[in-house]
Amino acid sequence: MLYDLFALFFGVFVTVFIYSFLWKENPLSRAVEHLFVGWAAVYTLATMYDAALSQAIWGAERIEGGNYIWIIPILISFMYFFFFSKKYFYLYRYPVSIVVGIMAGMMICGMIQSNILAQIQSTARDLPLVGAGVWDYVGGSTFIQGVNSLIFVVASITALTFFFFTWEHKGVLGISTKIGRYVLMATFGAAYGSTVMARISLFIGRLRFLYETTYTDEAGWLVNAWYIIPIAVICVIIMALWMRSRPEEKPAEPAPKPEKPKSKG
Amino acid sequence: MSLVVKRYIPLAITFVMGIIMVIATYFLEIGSPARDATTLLTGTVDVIVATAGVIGLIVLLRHHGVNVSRRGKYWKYSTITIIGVITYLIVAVYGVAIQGRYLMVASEPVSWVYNQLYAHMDATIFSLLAFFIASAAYRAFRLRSLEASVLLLVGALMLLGRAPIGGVMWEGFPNIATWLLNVPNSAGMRAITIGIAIGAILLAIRQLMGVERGYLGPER
Amino acid sequence: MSIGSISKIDRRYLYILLFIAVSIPLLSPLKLPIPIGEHAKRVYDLTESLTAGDIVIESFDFGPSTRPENYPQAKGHLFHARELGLKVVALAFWPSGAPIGEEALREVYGADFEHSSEYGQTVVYLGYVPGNEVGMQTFGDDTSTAKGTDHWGTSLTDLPLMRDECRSAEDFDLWAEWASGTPGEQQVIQFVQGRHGGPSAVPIVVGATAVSVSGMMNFYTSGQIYGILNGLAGAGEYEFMLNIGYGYPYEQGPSLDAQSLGHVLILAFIVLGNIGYLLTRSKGGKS
Repeated sequence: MLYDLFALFFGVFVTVFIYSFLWKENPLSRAVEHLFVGWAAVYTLATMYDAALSQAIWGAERIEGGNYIWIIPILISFMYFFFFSKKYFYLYRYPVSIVVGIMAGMMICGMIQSNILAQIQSTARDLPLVGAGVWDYVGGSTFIQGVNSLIFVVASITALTFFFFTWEHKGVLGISTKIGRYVLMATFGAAYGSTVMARISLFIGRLRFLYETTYTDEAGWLVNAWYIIPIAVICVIIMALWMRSRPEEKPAEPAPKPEKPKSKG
Repeated sequence: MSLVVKRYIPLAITFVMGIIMVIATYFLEIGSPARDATTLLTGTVDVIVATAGVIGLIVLLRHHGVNVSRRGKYWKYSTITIIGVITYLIVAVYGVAIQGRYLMVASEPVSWVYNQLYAHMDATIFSLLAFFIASAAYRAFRLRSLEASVLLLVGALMLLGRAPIGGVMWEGFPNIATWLLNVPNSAGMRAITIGIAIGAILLAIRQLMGVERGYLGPER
Repeated sequence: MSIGSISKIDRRYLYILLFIAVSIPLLSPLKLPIPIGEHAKRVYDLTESLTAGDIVIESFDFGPSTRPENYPQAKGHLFHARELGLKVVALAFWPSGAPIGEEALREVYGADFEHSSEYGQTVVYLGYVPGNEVGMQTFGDDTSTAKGTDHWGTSLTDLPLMRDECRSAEDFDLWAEWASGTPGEQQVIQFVQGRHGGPSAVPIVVGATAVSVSGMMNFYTSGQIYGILNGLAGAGEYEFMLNIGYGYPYEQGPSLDAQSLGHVLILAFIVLGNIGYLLTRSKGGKS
């Protein structure tokens, strides 16, 4: 279908235009970025609209099924439009307060079990072989698993002590926080390596799109994304030449300050 | 009176909502009618957030519209943004109109524009980070201290261990990378996770108690 | 090349080098051997240990920006689940994940799978389930409350798998989370697994972008996450194991080769930058 051909052209063009930003910012890359912002805003709104409809209106247990209590959330949400009112601005705080209260309550409940209790339990419960069941998998002797376990417990505790700001980091606490600092450096090093890996993966994905995507119509006519890349690059070159030929824009001169009225007497 | 309406009632609402969620989680059985009633509250969040999305779109259009009307800086690009918003809105409304009660996002026109057009821009802008990371690796990653050296060494071992070429150079690199992830990284992340969780819970409690009032916005 | 110039290479030349280094293996694959890591092996083995008829939740919580990493992970696991005769309930808590999930299901179960006889019996696609973490919590408590219809508007009461078998988290035998942000694996742990009996009741395997894997390792060692597919490398390892076990096409080879050269180049940049820095410092200059 021609739609698919158009999509292929569009995909290659926006990819090349955005990558042209790496050389120098130019009108083509900026135009694509602004288009992206506009479409992203509408898509986000569309997903929120769907969420609202699914939660409040559709379904046998919602307004559609006669459960009219769900009109209340809709009326409350309309209070958000008082954001634009100067006189009744404060009314927009009511729906915001509801959201903040509910999310804060859920945060407390969710975080305590999974991020605190479970973490502490798994560190303390299986002593001396912390992580038992995980490191069994790797194999190796109990001695190696025991060493791993010891390192893990020491590293966890020393890294935790690094965040104790109530007492001065001196003496035993000072030694512990120093070890904890190196543990955290190792953590951030692992995070850095993972981040590099992830970012390069994204770039690989785009290159595979540029090198491997094809379009074939019913007549068997084949269009490779390869063929379209030079056209997009030529557009960027033309834009670069046009930018070079334009005189440089001088920064706008500031408006002259109004004269102070002379004081009488 | 006005202070009660403008400040104290919203703070009280926050407190009541939070306490209801905590009580429902810890003291009500799953499946009980009282606990099921909390779906009204959690559904309210979705409805309110949808309205917030509308507000956000209006603010975006207002900002770019003012820029275009006053011929401000980059006003031509603001025109592109506005045209993009209007065209995609038309597509979305058309999608709902032709498919009836289907979700807007699942409608074919919206889905096609998203997957075939928008997705390329999204993925490409994200992939720019690979170049910035390469530039940062060259310019910023310095052996200034022992701690920076530890960070650099672990990062380098991860890079070699998580790609096949590390295993080709030496069969130990993948095992070292796995050990680094499992032991020191995991231990450090455990401490960070517990710290973040305690901080988040304290922030939530402060919001419920009315100590943190930033979400109320400015006083007008 | 003078000392000063080593530390002052224009970044645009670095970009060109990166582009070339990553492009070469994609055009002419190096076919480097891939070592299978422990994290991916655990995902594979846990899935293999399930019996035919067990219910797997496949949650597509990512967008097109992280598709190169998450999509091969999710599609491979979907294929694995189908081969083992597992019952799949696929959904997405990210709206952008919904069309991607549909695409993966069509590639594995057939282009017209929603009209096939097995739809509703062994596979159901709910599409986008709104509510983020609240939606996850609701889905775990009662699947029909979270969303009353599937992706195409069919009521869940008309789908035997959802009506009779998959009613709540008590019925889940595995949750496969394909995540790249929030809501993601941490929210599944907090709002589903934590509320319904812990890791033994709702085992979770995660396919995540590499950037988020280091942050979830503490959940892995605590047993809350059973196995992890670590970015593109994890996807490649899983595909490789599926290729050996089931003849699944191994397509990530060139990508992993490209990743290898990219990593080596980044290391070279780090070394080059530090050589310039150390030389400059030893000459008494400012870095």
